[in-house]
Amino acid sequence: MDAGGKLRVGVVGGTTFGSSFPWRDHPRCTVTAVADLLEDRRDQLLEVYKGAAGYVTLGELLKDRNVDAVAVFTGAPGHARHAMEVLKAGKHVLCESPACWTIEEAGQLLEQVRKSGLTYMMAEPAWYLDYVISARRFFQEKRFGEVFSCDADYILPADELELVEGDLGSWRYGVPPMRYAARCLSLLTSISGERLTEVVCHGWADKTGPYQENTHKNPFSRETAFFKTSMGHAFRAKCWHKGGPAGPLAQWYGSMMSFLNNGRDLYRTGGQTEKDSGGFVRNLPTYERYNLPAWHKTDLLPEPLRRDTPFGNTLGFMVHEFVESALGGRRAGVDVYDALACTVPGIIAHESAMKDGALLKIPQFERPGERGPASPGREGAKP
Amino acid sequence: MRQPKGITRRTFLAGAGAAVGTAAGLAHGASGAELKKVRIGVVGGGFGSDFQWHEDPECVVEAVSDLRKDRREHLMRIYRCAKSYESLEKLVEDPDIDAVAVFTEGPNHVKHATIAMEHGKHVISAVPACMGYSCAEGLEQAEQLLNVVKKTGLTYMMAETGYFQHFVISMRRACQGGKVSGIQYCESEYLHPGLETLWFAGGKPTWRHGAPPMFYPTHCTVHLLGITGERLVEVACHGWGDAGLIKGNAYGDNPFWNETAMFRTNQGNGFRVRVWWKGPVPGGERCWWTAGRNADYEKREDWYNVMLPAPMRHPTGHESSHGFLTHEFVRALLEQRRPVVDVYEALAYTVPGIIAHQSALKGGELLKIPQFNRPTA
Repeated sequence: MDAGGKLRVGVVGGTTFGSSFPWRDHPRCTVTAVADLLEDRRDQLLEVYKGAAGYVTLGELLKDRNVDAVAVFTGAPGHARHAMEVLKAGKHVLCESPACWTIEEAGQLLEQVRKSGLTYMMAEPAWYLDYVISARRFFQEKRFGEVFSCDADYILPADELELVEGDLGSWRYGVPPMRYAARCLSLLTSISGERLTEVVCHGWADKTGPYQENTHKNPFSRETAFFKTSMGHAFRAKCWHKGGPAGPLAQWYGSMMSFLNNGRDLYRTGGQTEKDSGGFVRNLPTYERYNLPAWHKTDLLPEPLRRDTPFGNTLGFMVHEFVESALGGRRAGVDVYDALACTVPGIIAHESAMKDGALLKIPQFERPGERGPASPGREGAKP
Repeated sequence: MRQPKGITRRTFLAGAGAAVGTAAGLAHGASGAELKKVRIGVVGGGFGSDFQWHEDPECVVEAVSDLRKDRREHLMRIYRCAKSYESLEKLVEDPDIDAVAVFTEGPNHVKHATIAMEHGKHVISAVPACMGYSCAEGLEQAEQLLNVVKKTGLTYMMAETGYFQHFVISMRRACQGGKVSGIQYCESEYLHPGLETLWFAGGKPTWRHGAPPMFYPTHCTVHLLGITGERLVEVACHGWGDAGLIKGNAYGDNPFWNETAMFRTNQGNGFRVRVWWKGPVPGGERCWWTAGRNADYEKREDWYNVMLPAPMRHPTGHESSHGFLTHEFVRALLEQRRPVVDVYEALAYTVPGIIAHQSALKGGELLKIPQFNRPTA
């Protein structure tokens, strides 16, 4: 920390995502250094975070004594490796999603976080979408009854991956869609804290473009997984690189209330009935068009952060959660356990798809001392 | 038309949609002289009273039956039929009946279809094709049904309404015409919250009380199989329940109000199905297909105006599917072809649900689904 008690952040990776975080709008945070291997992206970071020191590599940046914490926005296959490097250098780390690329890395990352005693947080936007925050509150207020089933979609059209045809050097080229599962899986794990224990997954081999030949040996442009949760619930997650409207889509089904279509529709158990087209009586739930609060503009965030930000107005929350937790206030919003709980199942799901939908067990990385469903990190809780 | 008792007929091995008559030498059909009208006996005055047998120009309701007098009278009134029997067992003795419509309780469908076919009657049965009080019993019934159909050579059809929901007809035609192709993923749901209102009658549990949702899967499975013809080969299923009214049911005390399954097809495609009896959700039978090619295709809400004879061109039950089911069964008998939902289709729609329930009971184990394949010609 600097003399003013501010967290001094180093930003690594000048991608659109990495250079969008409003670090300096947080009253207890500043950016003191940036790094990128590519000059144009480094310049982009220096333009956004004026006055910061510029470095080429992560290693150089880690030697800077004016850096307390590092935000890692590097290529996905390097996330865990880079996060571990940061921790080894004695700095807190915020790492872009996904948390890791392999199961071995998951174990190593967890070990490193535990050993270091430092703050690790995964920057997963889906955790902080306004409708996800609403759902989390409904859950905490027990308004769902039991959330007995959930559907989550994450459609990322291939053209948004900015692929160059035949670019086998890019990790994005033909990447298995389930590598991005965290965006889907956090839609349940961030609400109820339950864990995903088993999966069958089916892939769609469309034999076009990047899915014909790639370094991942992945034939699937779409993967659809069916998980069993630690509560025995059914959870269906679609990660597709083609088809459908882009973005995440969440449906929560509770015994007393269902919350559907990204916070648009609320259905509650009602006293009315109707007849189906065959003449059979069925229950008619009461419907409410939900008026979604703009949580990102409320006092959940400190004043300068209360504004619209890219990536679904989630950046303010990620900045705030990370800064507060690194400064010692509380557990990180998406700590290493939460991060692995929504990353690892995607890795196993892809494995299932490669094995023609075999049922596979998912390794668990449990937070010590927690039994039953874990309590996910909560936004805006006071230290 | 008449199918004398005891005389069997060869099973028709027709390709999809092809009309094949191979009944030469049998008592009916060869000359076609007697094939002007189907004389049907309708059993079951609940759901069974909602079909259009009396409107089909090539069908007449010869007799009706229900154990309850009020329902018998209701059937006679609806179908303008003067003859009634107190039981299915009596009705099937009537030599003037060619075919029986079995709209009785789910767990009795196979028993009743068997009795009717053993008396030389063709059968149209309500869904599901087979339904035991346990998974094992359901599978035994599946075998039994197939055996009796094979043995008698009679026509069996399952009255799955989803086959003729208008959006399903539209999609089937789009696939046949090449507008849509390469369906590789599908989700279907049958949500009927509040089904428990039918679980008790006169203070006693009905056959529906606590029935495992996946024992009633055909409204969903038809949405994929009834279009692409593929088969379901594996399933993992999860059940949910919160006790209450469901407790103490005859289905091994099934604890699940809702069941959600992921099937794998013989084409390697995923197919997610939910059958739920509970929850604050809008009820209905819906489906979403994802296809490789998806051009604009014709969607209509009035296919009956295009596909049915004049007197039947009007909305009917279950999204106007009843008129189609009526007419399809009649035409299949007259043309001596297999109906669109014959015994092989019926079992392909029904049996995967039995295995899904088994999976749910085993905590979501991945199970193989037994196949009842149509013999290749």
